[in-house]
Amino acid sequence: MIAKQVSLILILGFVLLSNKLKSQTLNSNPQLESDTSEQIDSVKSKEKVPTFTYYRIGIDLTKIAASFLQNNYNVFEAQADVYYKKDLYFAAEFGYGNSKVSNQYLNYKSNNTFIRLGLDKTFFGRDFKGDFDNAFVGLRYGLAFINRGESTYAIEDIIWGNTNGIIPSESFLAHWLELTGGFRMEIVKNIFVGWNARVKTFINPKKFELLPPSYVAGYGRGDKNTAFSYNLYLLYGFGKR
Amino acid sequence: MDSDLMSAMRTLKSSIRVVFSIFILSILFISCEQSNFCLEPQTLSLKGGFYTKDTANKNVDTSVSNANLRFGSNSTFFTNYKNGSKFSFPLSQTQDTIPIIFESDSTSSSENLKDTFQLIYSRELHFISVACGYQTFYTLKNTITTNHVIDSVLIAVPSVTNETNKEHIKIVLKK
Repeated sequence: MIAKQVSLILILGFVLLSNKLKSQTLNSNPQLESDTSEQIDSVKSKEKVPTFTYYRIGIDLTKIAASFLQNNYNVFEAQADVYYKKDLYFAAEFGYGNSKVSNQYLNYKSNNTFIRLGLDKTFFGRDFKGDFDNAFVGLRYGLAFINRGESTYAIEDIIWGNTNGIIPSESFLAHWLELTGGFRMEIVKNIFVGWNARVKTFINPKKFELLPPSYVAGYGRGDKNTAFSYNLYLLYGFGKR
Repeated sequence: MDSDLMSAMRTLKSSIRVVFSIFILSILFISCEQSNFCLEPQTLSLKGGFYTKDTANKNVDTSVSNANLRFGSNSTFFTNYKNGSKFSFPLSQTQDTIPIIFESDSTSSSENLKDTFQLIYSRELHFISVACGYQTFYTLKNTITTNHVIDSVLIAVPSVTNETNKEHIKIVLKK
């Protein structure tokens, strides 16, 4: 399953990357740009893009789909970013989620809010004025406020006898670092789609040793110190290009 | 910009749109992850070996020809060891002291060929996974034994965890 997802993401990445590179190669072809003054103009227009004027805000479609398809958790994730300058964007992601565990050995619920803050650095220049299609890599700092409810557990032991008990509820602050990469593509004017692939690691994994939340919105599986995830965003862009 | 380039850009973008819509559809199908199954046991075993003292008073491996170790509530469970030198049995997850009965000859019911030893330990809950819940880790504190056939029960490695290849106790038999 995961291999399938990863290969899909990789294939899509390569398709976009190769196309973008191809278009850049075309751009630098001297036959196509015999008029050097025009080329200089286009270079100038790249530099003139003003800072903090174009914003995008959107939601993660995969999380909405997963909330409907999964019985164990619900999650909502949104993203906002703003073009800063040259090849840098500031990005903020936030959301809410809850999860439940209900099996013969464990029963409990948890919920959390989260925020991730960071920077994205794009790879390519603009093909034309106001071109925000790009590929990027980024860094994030993530923070989640988690409430884990009271848990009941059972241990099966046919030899000495079964055990059961209660783990009291607990609130914790989890934080993590993540590395991300992805693409954004404007499909119609001011409407963007794009995905992010993410790898993340908890800064304070010891917090969860007694009983981790099964799912931490914004992070992934609470019982893993390293998590992988992806998002598919639908974004609306506004502001001056 | 050159008109050829512009049309190339348009074709490029429409092809990307197709790829994206395929991607969205595929996400809907692959979002159904498999639920977790528990594949790890909730009970851990204490491991040990049988020893005798040599002339220099050192403990040396020995094997028992036909012995039983009885454990469990009311000692209803047992393992028979024929020419075995190593043994294992689970500890209780509800009590801090358990009795184990060692029968040096399983064919005999003589009390003189039997010993009962107590294992005294502390327990700690250890999280396995969301699918499996908890298991118990132990720290061995002390042993008490009767001395018909057993010389002593020694603690070699006090912590009984999910680490394998550890020998926690040594049962030193009289010659």
